[in-house]
Amino acid sequence: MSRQRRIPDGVKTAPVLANALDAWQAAVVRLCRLDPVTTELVRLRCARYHDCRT
Amino acid sequence: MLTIVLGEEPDVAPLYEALDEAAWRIVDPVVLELCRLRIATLLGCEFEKHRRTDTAIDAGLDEATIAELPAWPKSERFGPRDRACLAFCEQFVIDVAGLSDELAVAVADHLGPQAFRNFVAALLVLEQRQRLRLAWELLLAPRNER
Repeated sequence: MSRQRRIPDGVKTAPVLANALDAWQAAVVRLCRLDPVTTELVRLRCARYHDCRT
Repeated sequence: MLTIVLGEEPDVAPLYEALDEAAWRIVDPVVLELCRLRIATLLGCEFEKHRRTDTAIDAGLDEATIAELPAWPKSERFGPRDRACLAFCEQFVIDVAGLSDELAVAVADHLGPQAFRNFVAALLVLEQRQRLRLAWELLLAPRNER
């Protein structure tokens, strides 16, 4: 499968949604009911599922 | 359900709702509603399948169109923009890593780069919301209903 850049440089998600996403994800990461090892396993599984190399 | 799951995390629940509201503010509500309903069908989320979003109905989406949603590739009720967005949405839900350039270009050509980026971010919100709901329903159901 080809991997061309699909969104030009400088095009960002609208701030209202980008900020809401950042706030939600930060709040989820701050939760501490799940142990850090399981949390990291889930994070890595999600990264693989989404083909995220970051 | 949100109150039950996030009741002990009062800082998180409002952010969850704010995220959904933000998605609906920046994407055409009819396109987003079609995608939300398609996601509900693909994931088997009955709650989401049977509810409607007011802004989409107010913008002209009718029940006859919704009834034909499973036939979107051929139904004349759906134009090229709707079809491009629904094709992208389906692949996004089924296997996001398998999204091809062709599917992406088709949506970007109809929406433009900025709206395309917003659309993808909004899809993430819709899909995440339904997957979370399904997981919560399973976890909260009485044992004999699982």
